[in-house]
Amino acid sequence: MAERPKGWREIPIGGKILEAGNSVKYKTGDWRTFRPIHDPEKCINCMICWMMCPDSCILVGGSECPAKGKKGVSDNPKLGNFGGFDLEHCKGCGICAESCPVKAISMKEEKEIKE
Amino acid sequence: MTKKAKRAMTGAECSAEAMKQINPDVVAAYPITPQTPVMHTFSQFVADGAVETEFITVESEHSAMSACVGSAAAGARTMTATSANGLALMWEVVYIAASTRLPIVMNVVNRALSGPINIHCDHSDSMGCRDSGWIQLYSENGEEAYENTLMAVRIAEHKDVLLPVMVCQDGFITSHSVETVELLDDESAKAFVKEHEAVDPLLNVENPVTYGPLDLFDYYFEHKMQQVDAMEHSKRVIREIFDEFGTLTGKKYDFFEGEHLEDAERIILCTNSTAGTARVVVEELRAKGEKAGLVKMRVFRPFLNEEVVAKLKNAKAVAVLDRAASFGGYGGPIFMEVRSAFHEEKEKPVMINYIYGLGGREMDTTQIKTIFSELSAAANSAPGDLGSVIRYSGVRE
Amino acid sequence: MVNIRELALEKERLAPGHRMCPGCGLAIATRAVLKATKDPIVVANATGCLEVSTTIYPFTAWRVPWIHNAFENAGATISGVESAFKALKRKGKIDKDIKFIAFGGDGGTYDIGLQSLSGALERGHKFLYVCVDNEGYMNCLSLDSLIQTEGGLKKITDLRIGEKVYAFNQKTGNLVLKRCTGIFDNGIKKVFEVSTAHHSIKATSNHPFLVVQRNGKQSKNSLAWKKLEELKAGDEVVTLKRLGKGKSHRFKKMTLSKKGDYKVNKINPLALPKKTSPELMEFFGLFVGDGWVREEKAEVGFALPEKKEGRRQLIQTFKKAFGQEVTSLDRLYLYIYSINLSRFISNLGFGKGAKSKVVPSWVFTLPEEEKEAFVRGLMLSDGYNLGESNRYVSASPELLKTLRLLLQTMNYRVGKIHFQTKKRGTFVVYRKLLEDSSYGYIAFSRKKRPDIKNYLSQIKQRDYLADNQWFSTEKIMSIKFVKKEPTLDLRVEGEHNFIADGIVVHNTGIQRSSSTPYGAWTNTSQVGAAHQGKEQFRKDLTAIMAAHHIPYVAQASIHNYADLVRKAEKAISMKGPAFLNIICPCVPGWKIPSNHTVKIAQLAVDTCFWPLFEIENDKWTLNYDPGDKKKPMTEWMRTQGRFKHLFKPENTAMLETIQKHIDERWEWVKKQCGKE
Repeated sequence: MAERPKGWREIPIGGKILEAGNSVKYKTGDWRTFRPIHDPEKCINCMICWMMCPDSCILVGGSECPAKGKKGVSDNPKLGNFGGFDLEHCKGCGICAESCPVKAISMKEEKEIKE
Repeated sequence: MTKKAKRAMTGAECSAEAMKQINPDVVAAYPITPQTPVMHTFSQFVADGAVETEFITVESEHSAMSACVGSAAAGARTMTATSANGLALMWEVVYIAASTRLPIVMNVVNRALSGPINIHCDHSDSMGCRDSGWIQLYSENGEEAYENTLMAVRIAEHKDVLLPVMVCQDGFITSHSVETVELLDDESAKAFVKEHEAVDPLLNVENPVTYGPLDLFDYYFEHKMQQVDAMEHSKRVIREIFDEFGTLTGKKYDFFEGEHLEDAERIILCTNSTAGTARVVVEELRAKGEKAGLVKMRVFRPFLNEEVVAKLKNAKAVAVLDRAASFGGYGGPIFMEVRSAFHEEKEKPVMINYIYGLGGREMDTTQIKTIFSELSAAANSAPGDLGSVIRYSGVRE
Repeated sequence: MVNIRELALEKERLAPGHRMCPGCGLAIATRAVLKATKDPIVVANATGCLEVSTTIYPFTAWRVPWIHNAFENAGATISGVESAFKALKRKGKIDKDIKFIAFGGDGGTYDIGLQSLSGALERGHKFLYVCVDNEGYMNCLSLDSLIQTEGGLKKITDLRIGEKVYAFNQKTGNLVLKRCTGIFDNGIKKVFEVSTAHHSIKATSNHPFLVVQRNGKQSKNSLAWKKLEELKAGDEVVTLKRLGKGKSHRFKKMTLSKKGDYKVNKINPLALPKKTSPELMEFFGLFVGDGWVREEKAEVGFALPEKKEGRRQLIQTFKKAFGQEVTSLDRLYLYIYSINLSRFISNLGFGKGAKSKVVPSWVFTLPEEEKEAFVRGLMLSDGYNLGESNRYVSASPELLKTLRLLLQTMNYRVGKIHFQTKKRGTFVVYRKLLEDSSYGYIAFSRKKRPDIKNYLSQIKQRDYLADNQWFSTEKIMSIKFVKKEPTLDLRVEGEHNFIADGIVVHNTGIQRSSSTPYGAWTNTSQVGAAHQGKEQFRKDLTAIMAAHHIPYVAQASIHNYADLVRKAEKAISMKGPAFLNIICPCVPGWKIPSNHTVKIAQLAVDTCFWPLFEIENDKWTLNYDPGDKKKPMTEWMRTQGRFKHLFKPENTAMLETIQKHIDERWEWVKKQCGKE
């Protein structure tokens, strides 16, 4: 975001934004005071966290289902799995932790987390 | 010959005919006198299947221009028509249409803005929009309204312009009067307006575009500069289109069209139907050997100041006729700009403003003659003796 | 049946990086609706939170074609897009099947946007209109406001949720620390500047300030909250006089460089202090005025010529604070070479060049003695006295601004910042300028202590809080419109106020829409002696939509995702217009914690405040009946700050009215659904 702002000859006319979804360049992750922490032992891959996140910050994982082997969890490749958090954008609202039916997500204060 | 047989038509029917030949993809309109016959006629074309237009009968003029914005952004050739308070109601969206750079063509049948409510002709509606970023073309009669409408499509859609265009004609005076007109045949008109090529359309789902973001103070000004730039380019583009269309009709079109200007000492500058009235008087005076001239304004936005100076500079006295007032301003809209155009000139004619015809008040040859004689007096007075240069014609004291 | 794990594999249509509040209900609803179809879609969006936060130029969070036109015309705009599609499809120019969705908040749908929505429905355009209903419209402070926090003075944009800020305890009049529980980006608003003799703050027209209400007799005077637009010159606002006791700042541990480290040749292993002390602060004061750091040369330098008193002081304080002598000096400058010292100072937040120095926020937390030492050091460098007044000169506007606020917490009276340009060759504080420069200065002096013992009531006429340790009042000199700016607001628990730019201000909220519930507090339906929040019941928009007899109308909630997505899928597959009304709790507007959004939506359904039902071709179906488990309205209202006042004993009747009204509406909905 530290780019020099463009002059009127350099931007598209009519106020149009031609690069779809370029808001990913704006890192709202630094709004956070609390960070979500995922416990893979408890996670059942229901993906409710993904559904409820206002910021589309639950990443959808690859074909290997982390909760494979757990009772009732399908490892069908046509189904998405928990793939982590997009910490560049996560605002730490805590809805994922609140919505998780098995309490696999908890919120920790950023300053307590060592890099 | 690329013309149809002469017909007797009202000005509104001429506009509708232009729309028919253009065959826009979408028209969204709401009725208001005196634009109504344009839409009534066009509705019949839709019902007859004479056009393929998707006609949206919206529930207000604000929604009319809003739907036009949606449609034009989607990539469709879009048109509409309105007058007076309808134009006023859609005011915020008129600005949005221009700033979003959408090539919408709108017929404005000039009518006075309320209040009190008045359905007759004056130019307060289109003059009120002069800062909106739209190109404005004015038409002396139905035939010109037709021609301006066809040209408007090409001007608006030109890649160097991409600005909406409003084509104005006088409410009732020309819109509801029958005259003989000579229009182009369908093929020539269609070939002239060409196929619509959408720019960044919403319906191109493979390349999603965001229209109408929030600008903070760091970008708004730049977007406005782009509009300024487009208006500059439009000066050149309009002339090109005028020349091209002229080859079809055999007529000559210009921003300011002069008649009897060669040695004219007293000139009247006016627009729309008043030009016709003034012409009668100018020709009468010329027949008597008097050096009278006429300048008819066809394009108000962009305002081509060099052209207006060139046409008027050799006169001794000029009367600028405004069919709209700018309350609290120094004169009417056209007068203010003509006068300002002369600021850098060393030699300038005496300039008098006549505000006339508000709310449909008749403007006749008698008043024009009076204006010409006042111009004589003005041309011969010493600078301090002019009295007020802002005068009102046709009003009872 | 909706399978979330399947949906998760589809491409996300709303990208992250949008600027809706943490925990925003609108965002959850929007993401769910965007999954309603696999077909390509085009979206029209009315002006509102959703539109503004997702498309701040040059960024857009939308990965689908999207258009915003104005506030009231989402219905008309989507009609235009849909008609263009029909026209071009008929002409064979488009071969895809594209779906159309319009989003509007309750503002753009219930109120100003109702007409164009009604028109679009009546004409039968094939599209889905989604109302993301958060029951109000929102507001705030300018982004460059400086807030007094536990960790020092901070820009409002640097605040974090959970931090403690200073507030005014309205009962005791004391300075207290309270947790900040929310920070909200409230969009572009008209911002006004309120100026007193010594303070100025920029805020929106309905931001509340604490003012003295002069009721005639001294004893009847009181403090009251008044919105900026109600203030006028002469009103007395409460301002901060002095901060708390403060304590010495402990420095963060630094990894020290040692011999053998790459490029280190000037280690000079001096002991770095663990915390602040008056000597150290005086040293820093001198540094801010006359010092610089060149880390690459391991150099900390001072422009203190031989004659200047500051030089002597520097050598003394340096010895006291670091235990070393200054050995590198010439006629004009002093140099200390130590890689550790240069790194240490660079990281303290004083800034780099002369034009960009500031007083870092941690200095505000120090005890008075250390702050005074800091000011002493500053004065020794770039200050001078003019009679009883002290003047400090600097080329850095930020330094003057932060210094001014610091001095005001030390009970100094400080004048306005004056800036001027001096030509090269002029002498400024004993130095000749090498080129034209801009310099600013502030004047400050110790406030004379008024004799409050003997003359309290007289003094209180001038300063209502004269006997208050922390606060005083100042008359407003002017209130001017500045410009339209991005604004923020804070939510502070307990006291609901905080100190911005030295003035005590309230955190603020929303404006009512016709969707705001009866009794709710908003900024245009305030709670006071004469009125207790909104006085009208909500408009039943869903029923109005049903009266258009369109193919599909439904109510949904963000907590029941399966139901919401199913309804969105159904709605968008209709051969005509469809309408979906979704309840979206709003964190700042409803005054709820950011992680309770979903829970509170669920409670809204469990209390039957927001019944879930659908109407397909005029046939009503109830989707959820809590039956015996129906919860009372109070259980839902208790979770939100906007209803707090309804729990006062004098408002019990209102609670009964609300319950009765909701019960009646619920019975009516059940009746429509054939379930009496």
